[in-house]
Amino acid sequence: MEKNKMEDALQSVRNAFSSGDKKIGVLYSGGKDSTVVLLTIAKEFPDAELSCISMH
Amino acid sequence: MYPEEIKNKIKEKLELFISRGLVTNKTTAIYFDVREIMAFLGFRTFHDDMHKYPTGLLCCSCKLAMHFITAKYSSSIGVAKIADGYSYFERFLPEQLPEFKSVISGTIVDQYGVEVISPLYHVFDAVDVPMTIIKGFGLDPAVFLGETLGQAVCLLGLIYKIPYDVNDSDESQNTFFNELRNATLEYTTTKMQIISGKETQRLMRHDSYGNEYFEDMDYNRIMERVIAAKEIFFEG
Repeated sequence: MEKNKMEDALQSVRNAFSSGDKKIGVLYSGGKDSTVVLLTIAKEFPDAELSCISMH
Repeated sequence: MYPEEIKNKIKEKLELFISRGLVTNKTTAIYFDVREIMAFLGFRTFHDDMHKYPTGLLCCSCKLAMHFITAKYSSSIGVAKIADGYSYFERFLPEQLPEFKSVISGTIVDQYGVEVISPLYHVFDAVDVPMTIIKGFGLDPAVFLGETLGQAVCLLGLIYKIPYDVNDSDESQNTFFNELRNATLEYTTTKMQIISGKETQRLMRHDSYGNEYFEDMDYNRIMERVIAAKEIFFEG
């Protein structure tokens, strides 16, 4: 289950972005959901520049 | 949470992820104070909205402001795709229903050339999925203490008795969610008219001596101020 969900997440991120995306934004609250999004993007696209955008 | 607490929480996490080698990217964290634009979009009509719509739908004004601020800023720094953490499991929150994004996405693309996507929407299909993946990255769940049960329960949710555990075979829930979907469409469409219109609101201000004065503000002017007041609080 754990490994499958991790792989599902990585695959979904691979589908959503490409290596042509040199800059990627993440709406980042520091919570668990947006953290998973951030970490999977960072893992799949280590060369992309990340902008973590937070608000209140 | 106060703004400083939010920024510190994010900064600590980014430092942790970088120190563990989980994030090796060049990373910047930016903070925006969304309150004024949220007030402009949502508070003026909130009294009527809370009688008209289930939950009042104030969350949609908040997230509408967040998406447009993000898109405007991102277009100015060459970011064409933005990911959010929206989750199918949390579809009891109106802004995480597909109906919310269906109203705003086209305008954001047309206006700013930016896409806001929810890459893990369908991966997050149960409450424990995000934490399971976080553990898979070798992180201690205690880092996310207090978040193990999913989205924080807000006061409006309690007042309106939002079903936090969605059960698609429950008839009464389905009735509620159908109503919520339609309301989300109508509410968000109405707020989009404010964004594309020329409406001004007279806002009460206080000068440094505490004296009241009034200022006429429109959406574009508030947006410019919010963007200009951005704070870059982490660079790694």
